[in-house]
Amino acid sequence: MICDNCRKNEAFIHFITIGNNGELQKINLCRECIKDFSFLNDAANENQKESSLFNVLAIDLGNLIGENYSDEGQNQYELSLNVKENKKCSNCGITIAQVKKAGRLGCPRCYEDFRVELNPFIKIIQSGIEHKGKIPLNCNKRLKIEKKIKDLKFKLEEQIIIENFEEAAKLRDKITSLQKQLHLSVKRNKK
Amino acid sequence: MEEKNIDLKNLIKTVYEYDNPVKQDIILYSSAYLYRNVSGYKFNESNDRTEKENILFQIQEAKNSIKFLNNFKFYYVRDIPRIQRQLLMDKRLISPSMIQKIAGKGIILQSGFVSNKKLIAIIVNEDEHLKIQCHMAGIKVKECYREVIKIEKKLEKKLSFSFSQNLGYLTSNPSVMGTGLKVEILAHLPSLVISTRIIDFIKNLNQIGYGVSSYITDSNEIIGNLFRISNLVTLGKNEETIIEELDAIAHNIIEEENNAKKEISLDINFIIEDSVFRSFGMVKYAKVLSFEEAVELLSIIKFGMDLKIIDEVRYFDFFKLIELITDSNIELNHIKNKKASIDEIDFVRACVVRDEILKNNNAGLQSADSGKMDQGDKNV
Repeated sequence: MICDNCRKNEAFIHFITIGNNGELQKINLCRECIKDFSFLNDAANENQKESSLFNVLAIDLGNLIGENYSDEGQNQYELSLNVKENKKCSNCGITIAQVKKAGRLGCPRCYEDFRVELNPFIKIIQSGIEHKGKIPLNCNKRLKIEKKIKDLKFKLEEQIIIENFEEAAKLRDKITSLQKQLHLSVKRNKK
Repeated sequence: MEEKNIDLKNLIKTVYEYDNPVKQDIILYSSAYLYRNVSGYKFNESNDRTEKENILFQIQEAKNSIKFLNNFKFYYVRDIPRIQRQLLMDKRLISPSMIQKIAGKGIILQSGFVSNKKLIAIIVNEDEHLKIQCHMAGIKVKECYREVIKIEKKLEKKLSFSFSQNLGYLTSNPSVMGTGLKVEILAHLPSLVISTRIIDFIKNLNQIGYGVSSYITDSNEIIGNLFRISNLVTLGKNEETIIEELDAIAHNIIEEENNAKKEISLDINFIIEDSVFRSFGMVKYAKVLSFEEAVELLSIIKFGMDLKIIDEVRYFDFFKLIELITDSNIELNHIKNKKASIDEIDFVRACVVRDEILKNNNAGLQSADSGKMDQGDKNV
């Protein structure tokens, strides 16, 4: 396929735009012309707050052209979801770029500060972003009850599946009593 | 220092070197690793030396106040000589990075009476502040987990660990966060490799969140048909699910491997025979053997023995032997009081392998009847 802009070189990148009425438009560009196509960057700068997706795309393209396209053999690139590369953790001062490079976080605080950037990544490498395992001994009472309820609910579902309703009823009663406990402790805390 | 040497060397001799209680040579060992970080400190990725020392001190204090850990001894990694560190790495107790960067790092090992059935070690300030691990021979995933969680429960009474309600235990490496639990088995699967079924098998493993890696810790290359299988997912599953899944995988692997072996045994062609006898010839006549090559050859010879293709070989415990011929073990057991070159080690390794597996071998390091190699009085 030939580039739509210069009509000389082989096209390298293919855009598909979808209009308001659903019509499709295809744009094919070659390696040289993509460098001149700065409209994406401009658009991203103008509506920075509005369209984060556009922003991401523009930065990705920027990276592609800047780094990887100069090296012909390696067109590998990561689809980065991080918009602000130099965002810092408020506790340890590690930047998101450093985290990406090392694959490691600096401190427990990073998980909160980089939540927006990290959670999609964690979702990919782990199964979900909810802890279902053991909890520490010295964590507060409320957490322990919540965890117990979670575990019991899981067991309850299992029992219902195998149609063991007698056991399920017992579990249900346990859950309701625990939930009452939880409400009480919450109220006490508020006072 | 000399005393420490001997101490450490004897400590980490375990079940792998002695008898394999379960006569089962497909799943060679099981391991469980538990990663924790002490709360109130930065992770080891970004903290400095003084903070590392503080963490080390706090963990040491905690350890000393726990009765259960009385027969565990603390060592600074900087006090451990190079060759012993290498041994720790070959035993997969510490990661390769710990050989180089030793400041502010420690290891807690069982001392005194060491049970031959399990190897327990706590590593301080490696990638995470704490790595509690247990290794056992055979399929012992559940038992390994029980050991590490026992220690963790004792420790958490004295220490508080970084924890978040949603994300579980926080670690610097996001691939172990959540439960902080990695369980692992080592499988020897020559038949699955020869029948090329291994490819589908690995694909299936990946789909359910399990990964495969090389026997050598820092290499990507699979050697000797040895596959380390471990969970990739640590968040979103609870501990029991993870260990039960790996346990099921282990039993499934044995079945698959045995099926593949049976199929091959029904139709042994000259190509399989050739590779077995070729490996045997190499072991018999080679003067130098690198570790990777030796493991590769022994794996095929073992496979040939199982299929009764070859009978010129004495029965040997595959895993016991490959653990004995690592660089560090060769250097510690056979080359004394000097720093050996790679060639020397390779030469001794070839002798050791010959001694172990050849019937009526006279040309080896020692006469064939002495058998055991860990008496340690031989000089080359």
